Amino acid sequence: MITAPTSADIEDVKLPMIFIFTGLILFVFAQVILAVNIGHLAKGLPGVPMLLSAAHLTLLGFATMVAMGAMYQLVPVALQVKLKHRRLTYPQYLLYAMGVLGLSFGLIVFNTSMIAIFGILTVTGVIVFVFHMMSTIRDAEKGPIKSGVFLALLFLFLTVLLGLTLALDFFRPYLGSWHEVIFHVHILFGTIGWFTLLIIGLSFKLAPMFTLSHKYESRYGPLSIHLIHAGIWVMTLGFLLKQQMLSCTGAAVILLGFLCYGVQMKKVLDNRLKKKYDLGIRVSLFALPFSLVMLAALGAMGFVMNHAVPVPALVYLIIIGWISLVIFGYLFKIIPFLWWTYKYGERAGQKGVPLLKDMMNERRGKWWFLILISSIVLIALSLVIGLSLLAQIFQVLFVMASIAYTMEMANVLRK
Amino acid sequence: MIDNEKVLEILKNVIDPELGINIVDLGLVYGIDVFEDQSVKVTMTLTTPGCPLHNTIETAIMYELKEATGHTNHIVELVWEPQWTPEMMSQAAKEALWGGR
Repeated sequence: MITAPTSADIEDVKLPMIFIFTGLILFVFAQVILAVNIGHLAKGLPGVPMLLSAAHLTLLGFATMVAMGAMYQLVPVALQVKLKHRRLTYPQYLLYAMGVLGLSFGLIVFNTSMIAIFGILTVTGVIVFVFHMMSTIRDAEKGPIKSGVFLALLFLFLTVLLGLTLALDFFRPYLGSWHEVIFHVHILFGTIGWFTLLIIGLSFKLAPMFTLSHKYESRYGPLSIHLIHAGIWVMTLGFLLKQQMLSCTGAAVILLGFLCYGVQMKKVLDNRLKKKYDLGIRVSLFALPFSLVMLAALGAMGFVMNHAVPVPALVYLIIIGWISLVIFGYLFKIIPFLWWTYKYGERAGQKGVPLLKDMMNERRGKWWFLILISSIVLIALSLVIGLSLLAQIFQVLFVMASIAYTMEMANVLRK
Repeated sequence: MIDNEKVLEILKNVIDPELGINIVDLGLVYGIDVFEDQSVKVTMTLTTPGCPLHNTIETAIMYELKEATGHTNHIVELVWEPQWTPEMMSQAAKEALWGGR
């Protein structure tokens, strides 16, 4: 018999909670900015400073912030390793949070000095995080979870380096026509390389763990990671060589990787022991087919109506319909889990101690998710058609549902 | 005085908070040793390696054993081999999870 490693690391819930709630608040701010400025997106002008600010608040302030907090908690659990430099965690939070806030504000007022200075702070915060995580996972056993996390960290590092390159180009222009090429690679690395590979890598642990799934075939998991990884580089080569055919081939390989991930998740779910699984997990799993179907539908609409790929709508869908929705789903499970462990963990099994499922109001949660998902569909459609006012109305609805969701999450802390 | 059977009954009070089923019916308890000084060693596993509820369940076991014996001189050893499988669950646990499938 092998004695399992024990870890006190997983008991510290304060750290991930700070990251997660900072992220949720910044998400609401980002969506308010988007609500005011969504007209630019509907007109196909995604590069205006206000939208850049909303995008960075969503991707860095919310998604990356939450991912960092969750990784401090989940990576030791999923890979059975200990955090290597726990002392770095809070300074890293401060550095990164200051950087992102300053960068987002710098983009709103389009102050190039602020963008460059706070951009450097943000990059430093990310580098500290990447260094910490890389040294933490170094001793972990090889497998799709480690591969996904490792590649995601690599792409996070590359994404912020490219972001800094772009920010410095605003400060002192030197990239010329390469600015746009690097901008595309920056978005690709961030959305697919960082977030998608991370979500997929961690899902290989979270989905079977939360659905209690055993004895399932697991070959599609590693395949999905290899395909997406390869597709990213093929697509990047297409951008750099300005060969659209190569970029499209890369996108097709990435899509194939997504499908393999879908097949893997189906195999996990087919072998689950829990007949009913929680709302948050259902939403996280739903995000993949939802975003794939929506991407196909919006792409087809764009071609039929305007004979062009509706890029702003597709990017919106990847950021909100895929990345943000998966995170919202997992948080619906993870926040009660962390809070329960913190508050009741030592009294588990005693009278009066609630079960995990009692920590969250799923009935209300269903409504918030329904409004969020419906709004995403309606906003994306409005963007393809180019109806600014409708997009704005639905975005206001989305903001209200985001606030309700965040309050629902905060409400857990009262239990 | 406690013996193995009594300890097994005590451990039925420890509920997996995720599944709402006690750890004995889940088949997580692999072995119980009761020593002369009435200290207990529980050898157990979890449904998945690296389950984040590990410390929580261990604390709950220690609490229940302390309530029964009046002292804290007990050991919980967590092992991953043999690996837990669903077949290790009792009929009651299977029915709770699958609705009698």
